[in-house]
Amino acid sequence: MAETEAGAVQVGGMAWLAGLLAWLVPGVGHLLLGRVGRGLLLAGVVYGLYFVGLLLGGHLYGLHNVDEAGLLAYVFGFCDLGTGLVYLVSLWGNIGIVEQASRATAEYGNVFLMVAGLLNYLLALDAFDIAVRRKI
Amino acid sequence: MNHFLLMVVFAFAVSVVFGVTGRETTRARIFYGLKVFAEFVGIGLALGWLLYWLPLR
Repeated sequence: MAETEAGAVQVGGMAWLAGLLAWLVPGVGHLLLGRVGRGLLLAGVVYGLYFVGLLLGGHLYGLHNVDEAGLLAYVFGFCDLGTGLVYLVSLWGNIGIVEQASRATAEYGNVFLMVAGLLNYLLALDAFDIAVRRKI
Repeated sequence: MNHFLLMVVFAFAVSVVFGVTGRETTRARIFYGLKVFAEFVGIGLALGWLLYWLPLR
């Protein structure tokens, strides 16, 4: 990053890479930037929420269930997509696809999965900001 | 897991991320994280208590 005379920040490729990697694999963006402890902690939190969400009977939204959920499938799918690669691998492996509405904790699971994705979007932005030195 | 424990797990996870991303120093992060956690659990319990009195059946 470089700061111009007007104070505007020029964003380098490293910042985009850190943000993209942080989205794809939670924690990796921070690891790349040398924030090892922070990266491991945040990865643990995001993956913890994701796997607890699956254990609770939550299911993933996306293009595959537009018929049952309507337009909300796009909104919820966007939230789930926040966890990056693990979401895509889960869809590919048919993990967390079946709705388990009969389980008392299924709705909790859905929320855990979506919030894991939303938090990871936040972490990707955090990694980007660290790379451009807006944050430490 | 019971519902309260799930709320605590959820509050803990969100508090950690908010604490880490929302403040700049370690001390400020810990205090902010604890504050968010306490707010989640406290407001959750208060709402639960209020809903208990509503005639929902």
